[in-house]
Amino acid sequence: MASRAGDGGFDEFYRRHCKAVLAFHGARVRDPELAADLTAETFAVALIAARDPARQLPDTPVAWLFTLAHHKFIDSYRRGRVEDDARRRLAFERMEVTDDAAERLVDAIAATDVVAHLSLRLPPDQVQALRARIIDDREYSDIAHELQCSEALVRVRVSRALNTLRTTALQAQPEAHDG
Amino acid sequence: MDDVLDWIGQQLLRAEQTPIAHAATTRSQSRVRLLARRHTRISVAVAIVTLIVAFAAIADAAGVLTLPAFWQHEPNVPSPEGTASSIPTDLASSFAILRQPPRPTIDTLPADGVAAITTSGGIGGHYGANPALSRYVGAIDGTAFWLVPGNLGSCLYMSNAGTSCTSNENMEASGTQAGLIPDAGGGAVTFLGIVPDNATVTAANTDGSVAPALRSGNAYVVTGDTNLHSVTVHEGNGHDYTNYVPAFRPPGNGPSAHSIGSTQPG
Repeated sequence: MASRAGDGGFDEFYRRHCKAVLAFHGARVRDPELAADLTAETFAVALIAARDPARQLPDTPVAWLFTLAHHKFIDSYRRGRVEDDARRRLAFERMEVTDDAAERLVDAIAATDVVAHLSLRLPPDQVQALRARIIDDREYSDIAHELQCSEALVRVRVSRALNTLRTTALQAQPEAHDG
Repeated sequence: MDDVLDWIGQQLLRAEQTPIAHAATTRSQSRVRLLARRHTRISVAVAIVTLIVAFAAIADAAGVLTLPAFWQHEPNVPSPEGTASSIPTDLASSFAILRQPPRPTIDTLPADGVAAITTSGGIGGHYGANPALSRYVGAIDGTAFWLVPGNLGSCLYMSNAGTSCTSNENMEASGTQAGLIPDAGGGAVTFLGIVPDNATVTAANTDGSVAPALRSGNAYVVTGDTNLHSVTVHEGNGHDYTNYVPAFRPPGNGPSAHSIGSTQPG
């Protein structure tokens, strides 16, 4: 019997989105090693969720993934360090980044357009709202003013992009409930 | 380490293939219900075309499969079973043309069809569709149809109108269908599709009268009817699958692509 993970599906998922998640974190922490650390933790959390048969996985995994990334960044910012709970649970080895590898990370971050990556996977209105709220970290009222629509509509669009997060067991993060 | 992203990927792959460290209890593996999605890709050859019928309803219990969740949720992820090497038996039992020996002179998929099915990251690869197994279905109004079987799903290639793919469970029950929707400039919606041997197709106008559905073998086309209301596939099991003409028309004069939901009552 095939499992939810373990058949190479997650590996493909990782390959498809790892640079975009790295770029997402890199734009925020301005440190390639930290960005890689956050990227590893983000995907470790996603893999644990994917392996849990009790969890309802999202219909739009890319939006879910970037929401995980957002939460990992916020958690780390609040605690002053990058969490490694998920990686420890998966028995990750210690990550050591050489100078050459760090340079390649910087190049990968610079070469990756997160919004373009999302645009290939989500409807335009959801990308716009997700970008403003999750990537640019802007307030709903500010986004609504720019888009010339109601704050409620912005919330709906963000919510649609993130809706599946609420159905996962990963919704303990407070940011999941403010959209 | 030289490449951090590769290293992370290796760590994840290793973790994916080994038990999670602290899992103290064993839960029965949940069986993943295959979402009966329909994926349609339309290459636009006329100026007014857009797309309908991308996703359909959930498969019945009989369609339960155990597949990696990320295969289901990522339509660009290739079939975990690879490309089909032979025509699935259940699929062949639903389409007589798939039980016939291949006729190379007409069954061979045109080059642009092969390209559409085999494009990297495409929906054909998602379902494991193999152009070498294709069968010519028929031709209606200048559009020729080929059925391209895969191990998890199959595709219908329509000359000048792109491809429409769906799971084999869907294909065996009601086939697959694409819609061409004129933009705001006007014109009639066209539905094209294929149905299994034991299914039929009817079309209805807004006033309730019957609209013509053209057939060629298992293929069908409903076109040129500005009063068209809906097209219904009557499955062999008694269920009906209906697609409705959308109330909107996409703006603009050029080609565009939209996908909208469809219903599968019963």
